[in-house]
Amino acid sequence: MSLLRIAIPRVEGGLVLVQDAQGLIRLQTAAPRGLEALLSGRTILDVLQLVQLCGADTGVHHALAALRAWERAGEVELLPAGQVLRRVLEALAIVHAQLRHFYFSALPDYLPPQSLAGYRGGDPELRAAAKRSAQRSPSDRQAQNFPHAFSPAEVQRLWENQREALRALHALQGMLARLGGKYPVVMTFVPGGMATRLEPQLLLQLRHGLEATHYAVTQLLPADCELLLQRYGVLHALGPGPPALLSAGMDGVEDQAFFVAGIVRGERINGAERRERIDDAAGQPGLEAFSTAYSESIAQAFYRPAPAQATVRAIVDAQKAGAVSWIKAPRLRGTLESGPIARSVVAHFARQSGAWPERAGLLVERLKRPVHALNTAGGRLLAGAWEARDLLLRVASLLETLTPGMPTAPARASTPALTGESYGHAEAAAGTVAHRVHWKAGRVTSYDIIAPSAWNGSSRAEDGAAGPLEQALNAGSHSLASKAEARICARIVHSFRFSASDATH
Amino acid sequence: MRLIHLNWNISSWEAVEPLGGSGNSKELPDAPLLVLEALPAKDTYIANVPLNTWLERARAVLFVGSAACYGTLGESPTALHQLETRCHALQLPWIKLPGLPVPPHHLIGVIAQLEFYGMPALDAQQRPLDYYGQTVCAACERRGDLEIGRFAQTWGEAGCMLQLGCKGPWTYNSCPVARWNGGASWCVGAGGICTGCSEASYPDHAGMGLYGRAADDALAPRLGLWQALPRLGGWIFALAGMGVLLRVAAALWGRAASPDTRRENP
Repeated sequence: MSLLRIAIPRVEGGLVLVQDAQGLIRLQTAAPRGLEALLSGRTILDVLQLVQLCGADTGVHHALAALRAWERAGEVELLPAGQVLRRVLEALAIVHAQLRHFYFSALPDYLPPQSLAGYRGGDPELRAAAKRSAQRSPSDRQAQNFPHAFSPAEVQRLWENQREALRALHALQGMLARLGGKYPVVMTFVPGGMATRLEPQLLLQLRHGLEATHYAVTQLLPADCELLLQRYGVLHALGPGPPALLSAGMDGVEDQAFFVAGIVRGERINGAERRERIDDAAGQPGLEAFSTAYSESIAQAFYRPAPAQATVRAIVDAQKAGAVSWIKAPRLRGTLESGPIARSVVAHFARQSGAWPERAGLLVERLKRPVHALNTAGGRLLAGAWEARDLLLRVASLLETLTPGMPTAPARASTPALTGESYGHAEAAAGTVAHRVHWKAGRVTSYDIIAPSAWNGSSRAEDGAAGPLEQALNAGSHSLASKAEARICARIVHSFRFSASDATH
Repeated sequence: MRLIHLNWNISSWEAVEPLGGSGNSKELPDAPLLVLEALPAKDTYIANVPLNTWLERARAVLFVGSAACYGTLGESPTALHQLETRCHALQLPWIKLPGLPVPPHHLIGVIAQLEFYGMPALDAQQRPLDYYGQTVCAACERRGDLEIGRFAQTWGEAGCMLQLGCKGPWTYNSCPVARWNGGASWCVGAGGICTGCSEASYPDHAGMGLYGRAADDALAPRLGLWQALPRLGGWIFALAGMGVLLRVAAALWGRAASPDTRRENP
């Protein structure tokens, strides 16, 4: 039975790590909310709203996956301006998630709150906070302090940059709200485009917002992430994931797509790197194969197979013998890791098209690791920071293609076949979102969601193979009994951008 | 004031320990404000030991978000009913802040109200009237379109979105006034409809769903002055017509009656 439990802070939905007598670390989350069952009997527009309940950082991408499933099935007129606005929203949501994640979820694992007490810079609010921090009781100060590797000047810079990131997040949320209504919920997705009207002031506000976020996202975030990796060289190899990486890519015209679809399996065979791609460079035909090929194991999860006519594939069984997790185990010929590092590596192997930025090559230089082994804590963090920078620059060029008054939504509602099935994918900051849907008479009969944190935080499948996060946690023989090692485990968890709420939905 | 925040997603596991303490009542702060978020899918809410410990010591309970307020998003309404009954038995006031998500200024505003002024005025569903006192439709920037009867028929079109399924007339919230994300925009402002996320009927809305349109009979009482004018005019015209008819009838009656009168009174 379990020996040790620690709660991981700053994880949406709550996560507990449990270490058993053999030293094996497992993930524990709360029971699912049953979102897939809740979708049964609803129309596509309802689904677009309700799937956003999965998680704050992934809600937009769940809605996009649902939307793409519907558009793939029906004769939907796709409005170019509406598609561009969607891409802008999609990219900004990822930029927001990466920026928030680095400064407010990951960095606190390295920069203790008590380090603010020594702040002597010019920011008046930070000075006031430093004064309050210095006045805390000795026991509080001790609880908030742990050794770190930054110099006093770097500490000061990081705190100031966190404040700048906060201002940039505010500007990003403003842009996302103007496009979607109330971020993190988007109210304007409709089949074929967006309900947002392309008015002159909207474009001006978006351009102004880009200017307000440019410095924090393109300069501070990559620089601070690189500083972190310089000071914590151990991150280069900490928390290695499985040698198989997944990116579902992005539908659309190649030069407008941010990501390419593919799976890279990095084994070396006879000195040569063997890699597998599931699609062509444009990411279109192979997705169908991917959609029908992946499975979701419940071998060690609290579920049992649902009856044939049920609206879900598995139903909750909290008393199931041998079960240890509420997260199912999505698999495609083994365990797959998804996220920014997976997108970077997949894009690296698709670089012949020249449409995607070459981040993996730079990561190889920085981390001094082969390209198939870049999925470590350091690689995940740095890939996310660079990706955010590249996406923000792409958004600026996308906005140049829009002019006020362009129609963004079809004048006629789409009418897909009365009965059918489809699939849709999207890439969120934390990884791949995959939806499969069956419907009858225009209403959902069964819905299947795989979230980024389900790929990465999955339980063990029939073959006993652990999910990427469990593999990463157990690669270093960490003991949760030690506070320092427990903090290392938290760093590994945060490098995956794990969300328990998303994983269980 | 001490705030105790319990999220069922966390508190269903041992992670609640840092919040609930070791169970030693001496360690618990007196009369905290208990903030509850999310609900369990099963009816075990009230059996939760840390929650009960806090309930007995709290000065008020704040339900945050539609899941906690109504239990209609995959959670159990029975669990919510148990909890409300328990609060009632303990004479513990409770306030609901529904919404998906709940507007942050509602939470901050209610906490400030409790700290400095006491309990806010509540509606029948225990929602603060300051934030849930009027319908979304009443302050909507497209209200004028409703009044003159200009309705959007497709997405992205100007006009009131009632015929696209907007639930603004039935939804009580401050979204059009306070807006979201630092006042940048809100659902209708960006081009979407109000889906009624702060109402207990969300997301079914009596079978309409989020985007279903209400029947014309249900919409009629919501129509404004300009919309009502044609009907009002119709009634005025009908009444005037009846008046004329009555006058003519009276005149004919009088003319018919007058010869007899003359005979009787030569």
